[in-house]
Amino acid sequence: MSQLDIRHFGHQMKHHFLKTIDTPLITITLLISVLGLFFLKSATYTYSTDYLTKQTIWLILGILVLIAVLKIGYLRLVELSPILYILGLFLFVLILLIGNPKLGAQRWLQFRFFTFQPSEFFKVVLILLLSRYLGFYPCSLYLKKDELKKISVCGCLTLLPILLILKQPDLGTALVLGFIFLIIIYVWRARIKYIIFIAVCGLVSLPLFWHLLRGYQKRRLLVFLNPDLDPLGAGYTVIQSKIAIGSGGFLGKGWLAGTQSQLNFLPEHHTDFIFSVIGEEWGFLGGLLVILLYLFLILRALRIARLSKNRNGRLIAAGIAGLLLIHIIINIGMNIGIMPITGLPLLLISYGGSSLITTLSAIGLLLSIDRENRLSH
Amino acid sequence: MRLKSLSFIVLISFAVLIISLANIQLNKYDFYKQLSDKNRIRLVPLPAARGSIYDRYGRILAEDKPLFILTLTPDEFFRQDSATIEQILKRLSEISGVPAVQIRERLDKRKTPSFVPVVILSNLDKDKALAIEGESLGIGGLVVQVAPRRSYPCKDIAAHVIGYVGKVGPKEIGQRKRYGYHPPGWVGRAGVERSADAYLIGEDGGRQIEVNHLGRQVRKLGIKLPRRGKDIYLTLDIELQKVAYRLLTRKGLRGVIIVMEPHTGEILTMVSCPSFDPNDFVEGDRKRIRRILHSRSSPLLNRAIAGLYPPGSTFKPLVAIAGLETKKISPDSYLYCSGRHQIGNRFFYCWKRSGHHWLNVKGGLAYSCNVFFYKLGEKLGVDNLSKFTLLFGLGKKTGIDLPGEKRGLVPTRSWKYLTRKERWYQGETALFSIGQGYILVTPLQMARAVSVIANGGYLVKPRIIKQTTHDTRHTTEKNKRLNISLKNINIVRDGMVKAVEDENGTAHGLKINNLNIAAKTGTAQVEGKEANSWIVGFCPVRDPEIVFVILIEEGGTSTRRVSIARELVEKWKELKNKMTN
Repeated sequence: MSQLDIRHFGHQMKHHFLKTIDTPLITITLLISVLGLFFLKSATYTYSTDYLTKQTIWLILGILVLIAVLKIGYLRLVELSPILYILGLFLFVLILLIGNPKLGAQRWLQFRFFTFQPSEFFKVVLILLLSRYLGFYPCSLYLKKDELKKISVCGCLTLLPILLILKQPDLGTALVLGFIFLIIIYVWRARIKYIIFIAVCGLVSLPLFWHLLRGYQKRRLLVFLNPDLDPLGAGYTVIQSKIAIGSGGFLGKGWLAGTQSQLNFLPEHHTDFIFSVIGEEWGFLGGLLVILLYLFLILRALRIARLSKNRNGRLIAAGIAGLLLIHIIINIGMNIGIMPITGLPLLLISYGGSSLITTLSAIGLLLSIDRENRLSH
Repeated sequence: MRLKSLSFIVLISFAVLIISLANIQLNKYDFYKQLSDKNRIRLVPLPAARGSIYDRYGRILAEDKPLFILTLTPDEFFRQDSATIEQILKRLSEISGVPAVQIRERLDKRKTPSFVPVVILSNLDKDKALAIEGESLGIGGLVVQVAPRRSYPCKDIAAHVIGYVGKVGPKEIGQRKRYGYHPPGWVGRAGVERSADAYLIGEDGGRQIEVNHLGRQVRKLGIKLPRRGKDIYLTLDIELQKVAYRLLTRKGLRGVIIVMEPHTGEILTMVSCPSFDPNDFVEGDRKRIRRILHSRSSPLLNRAIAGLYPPGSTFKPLVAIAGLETKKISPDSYLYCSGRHQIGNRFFYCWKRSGHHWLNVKGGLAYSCNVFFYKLGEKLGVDNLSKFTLLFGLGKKTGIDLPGEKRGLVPTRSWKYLTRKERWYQGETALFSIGQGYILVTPLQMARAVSVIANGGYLVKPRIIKQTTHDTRHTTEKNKRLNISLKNINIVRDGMVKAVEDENGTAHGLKINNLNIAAKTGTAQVEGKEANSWIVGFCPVRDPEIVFVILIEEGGTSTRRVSIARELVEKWKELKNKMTN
């Protein structure tokens, strides 16, 4: 090979690498994250804790994790998923035993400088594990008996962490895990009647979980049905959040000028209720912008799933799309009062390191799957 | 296929989100805008005073006193130029005696938003408060607030009955606050403060002000005055309580004195020693609170309702009534005491080893003969004993309006079998019939049981709350008449009178001229400790006005402690004469 050829080859490599990254996906992700920092600034600038700096550090760490996931490649992570799954279950048990009962719910492991919330990471681990188990072949290649067997094993793998998480009790995450399971077997092309059956079973068994919930969680769910039940108690947040968003109008009150959030009428407005800050200060235009950005993100994830030739990759990408979907719908939904308060963060925007890093690693997985698609072209 | 349909689901759900958002922000904008404007109206809380607690004659037992608190709003304070700030800090430290650096530190290290006032000094006296108020007219952010603070002028004298209040802890607020509750600052933690918390607690008021988005006041809008809690009158006579308390503390005794009206159940005195100063809990003096909590003599325990003791010989009148009611003995039955009594191969002794010889029931009570009651108990059997003991209200809560009451223990054949898996032994019946063995009672239960003898057969419900400002319903409650004949009660009563009047009676030290007293002493053995001494009784014998129960932990032979009862009754008489004149 002549020297010229080698140089040409190197040029091709470089060209290739840029081409292997889904630029729109990473651009949208970073755009939402940076917008999130602006909203967080507005939500917390009257606080004495410096959430903004912390979140910036988490964001940088998250991007590093994203790059690491991309370098490792999703297939290797799929291989690792059983170990991660067992580790996750172990951590849940650990939390139940020693966890830090913050705000009545034990979801965190407290370290010296930060608290670690394993249930966030577990969402992605479950996607990896289910995809691994359902394997290379689509459902149509299995006999009916084997299909049922595969579905029930997946169901058990999902139910086990759900029960541990409900014991914490963390209603939101349990819901997310159940939804991921449904999405993945749906994309795996399990028979629709099975999926409907499972979904109905899940809904019917909800009353069984009722007694696992804490008093305040029950109150929040009841209040969703009727916010005026307890306007100064559990219904307070929903009402204040709706007032904040509604009073934002078309253009909003302007950045840092929201009266609802700045006067602290809204609790949790840097975490679960940050969308109400967006709605109040940036108005309908700001809210619409954020919603459309998320819509793009999810459609992009589904596109990657569609293009993927690898069954694992397809299921993972679809699972991540489901993960994004349920978070966005429930979080924004509860902010505008059409969903019950279940404590799910607005991904990439709400304050919280565990959630941010998990989301970015999920984006890393998407990029990795997409890269494989591109390379195989 | 599936992925396409999934995209479709995504699009639909997002469409729903966008439409709902548009509905709130565009369609209902005016409605929410109005609500948000209303939200800018801020309520500055004005805490309500708690109702006062008085004794039966209206003497103050607990009240809220104004406490002056100096607060600074950092937001407004730091808007001034630094020279003024330094000057104010210096002046503040002059008035208060707190170094300026420390005040500064408290402002800088606050954990609240800058528009929330920070407490600089929490215990100003009135003069200083006025001085600061006078100077602060031109100063931004400096406000003197008045907050009520509980005070107990009688200190440790009636601490167990009155109780104390404590701040609602961060744990209790926890979740509620997160979702918008504004919890009351103080709650009753013990005694009447706790059991009547709902009456005493007031309704907080507030000042309405309109603020801008930084929380600065734009204008004043209105004021809702706090509503004071309701007052409560106790049945206590604090003067008599004081006397009783001194009788115990003077000699450093641990124990209980209860004085109760036998007809109404109203409690005139309830002393439990050692006691504590409830003011320590209000002031939050950690060192003193720790000392109270960790003291080995448990001063927080209200021994009158939660201390459990064997009743000893004060139990004998109940056994006597059981014997008469079941007709196992008549008033004229004589039993012989040789100084000891044999059951199986074991001897049970009388306290008088030489024996009391022939005695009837009155004599048995007057000289507190053990053998008489061993024999009577044998005739009755354990089932009758248990039945009558329960009838007199022992072994169950009296239902007094104080928290933390204990039930005590009345042994029965089945109880023994269930807890010890053993049958009941004859010897245990003997111990039971002189108030020893398994039986455990609270002093208040004894007061109630003695009242039955004093009032002619009524089981009263002891009461500590006489009335609240608006509610006098308590007084109309009817008491239950027990199915015991008055004749038999009078016989036992005569026995208790004889204990005082007879020269050899165990309570002869209680004999006071011009006053007929019925009494019974008791020296109750406790394993490994000195015996507890009891004195129970009532006076005047005809139409009794008070029942008294005195218990002294490790007080030794009760006959030697009778002087305490004597002094108590004399002081009661003296106070009563003073009140009627």
